[in-house]
Amino acid sequence: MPLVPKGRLYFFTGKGGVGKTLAALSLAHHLRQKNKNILFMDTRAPENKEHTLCQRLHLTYKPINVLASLEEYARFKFHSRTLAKWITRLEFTASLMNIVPGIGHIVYLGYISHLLKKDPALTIVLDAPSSGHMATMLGSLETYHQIFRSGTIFNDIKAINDFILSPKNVAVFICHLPTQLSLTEGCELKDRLENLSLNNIHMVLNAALSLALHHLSEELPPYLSERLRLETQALNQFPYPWIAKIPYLTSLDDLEKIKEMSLCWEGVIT
Amino acid sequence: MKKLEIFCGTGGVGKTTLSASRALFLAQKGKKILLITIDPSHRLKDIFSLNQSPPGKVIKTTYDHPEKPITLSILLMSPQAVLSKIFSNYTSNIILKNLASPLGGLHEILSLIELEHHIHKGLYDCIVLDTAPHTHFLDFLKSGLRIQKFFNKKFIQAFSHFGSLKNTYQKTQKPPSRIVEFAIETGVKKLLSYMEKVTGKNFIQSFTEALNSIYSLKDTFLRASNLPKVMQREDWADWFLVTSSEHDKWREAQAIQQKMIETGHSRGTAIVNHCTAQELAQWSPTSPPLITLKNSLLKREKNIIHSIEQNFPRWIEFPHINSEDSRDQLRELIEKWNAVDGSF
Repeated sequence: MPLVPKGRLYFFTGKGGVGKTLAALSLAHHLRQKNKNILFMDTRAPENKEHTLCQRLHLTYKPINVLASLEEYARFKFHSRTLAKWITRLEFTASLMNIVPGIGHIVYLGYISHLLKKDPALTIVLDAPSSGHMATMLGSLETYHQIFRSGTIFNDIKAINDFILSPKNVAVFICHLPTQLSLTEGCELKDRLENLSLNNIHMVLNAALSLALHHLSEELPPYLSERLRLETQALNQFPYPWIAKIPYLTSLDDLEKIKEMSLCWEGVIT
Repeated sequence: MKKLEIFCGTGGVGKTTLSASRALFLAQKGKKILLITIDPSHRLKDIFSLNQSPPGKVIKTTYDHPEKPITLSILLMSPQAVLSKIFSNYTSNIILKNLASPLGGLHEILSLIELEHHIHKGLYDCIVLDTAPHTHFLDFLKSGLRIQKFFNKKFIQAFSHFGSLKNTYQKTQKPPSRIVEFAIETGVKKLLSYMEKVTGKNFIQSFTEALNSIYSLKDTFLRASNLPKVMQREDWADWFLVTSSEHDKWREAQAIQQKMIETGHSRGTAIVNHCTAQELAQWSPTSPPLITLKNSLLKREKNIIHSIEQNFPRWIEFPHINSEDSRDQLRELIEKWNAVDGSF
């Protein structure tokens, strides 16, 4: 079974609704148990769910404030706290960043690479956006690379780009449900990300019914046996190896699920 | 049937198939229907076999229903097609060219413009809208406000005169004081001068040019920005919030509903898709793991329906359909729409 070389930053992405968040939390929990210095982050506005779960797992949740990060960057660049404050408080700046999401993406990725460079012992698990928006987020680096072409911002973006694209630093986990739709979209996403020169990409299977039921021979109701059949069929056609396979879990409690899921990461990362 | 029917919800619950079935159901009753998807994954093209058709253009198609063929129009929204329509020559500016790429991030805003365009044309009895999952849909709703903030009159005037400001300085003439006022008031001039220090030499020029191009289209953008307000009107638009019996999906659905209410939209109709309670009731497993599984599945569904009862004035339960074939699925879903017609 292939292994994921130890990295600094782990992205979790995949089709909407496949279970990225819980999968990300389960890896973070697993790494935490191995006494790693872990930060859990997500790209959406902090929702109660992630924050509460992190607290209960004794995981450090780090929310990100894009404008605050931009201010820090501006202060560093212009050597002026006043100017940095002025730039970020300007109405035009906020509305520009709202209209064009790429700027926020770059600030976000820049902030993360900054955290990792500052503390060599740190590892970050990131609950990233789903498919298309994940590609957009990473694509923003290339987009703004083209737009600036030269100058100090260009150089800074290049540094972020080099950091994120290095397989030494970053691994991407694309999560899938065992449905044809999800598996197809996962493969498409892998292609798109590879076109953006991202290479350390691994496939994770979530909620596999076949793993939960494989040892049981009792009769299932028609819809479950059909679902199992379709799942097996879709999985047989999947062209990539699974780095981790998480069975369908019957628990209705997120914390319980995360703890069970974290067992699936044993031995996956070197 | 309202003028606009919007299907929103979390990922992987069957939104696209449901919206397609709703469009077919209405078209079957003789209505002129446009089905639009703003979901970048364009799943509709598989359902209607439109893989050869270019995205961004309205396609009139006939669906081969066993009773009688159904005619309807379909649009797979494409950000580039919208940009080409509104900008005659965006590729000449490096910034616009890059923002227009599929990874440019203007998807939600351009979807709003495209939707407004078709509503404005008034060619259809009803437009059925299939949206992108979860937070992207919320971004779509917020796009109206984002546009309005950006197309602030003060910014527009500051930029439109910034170009001429540079020229007039070069001609050593004194610029009109009101223009200077605008530029100073918005901080635009000062911001650009600082930006010039950290960006490439030509960047500021490209930037100003791009902004002026975008601002020249303010009417198009501002018209579209009013759409979310119109969508709030209960006599005008109907909302279907789709979820399924998977526990996690219900929580996300609740989050969407919360945001919708906060932004002034009505509660709409909830749809619980893939209901399996009836089928499960007929199953009598004997081994403990399967008993646990059955109970877990039943409890999940019961919890969701209970929550929905508390939070929605109307809801519909769509049963799980035992076929992967989209034709079978659509046929059964259309029947179900018929069965519940008039009850919500």
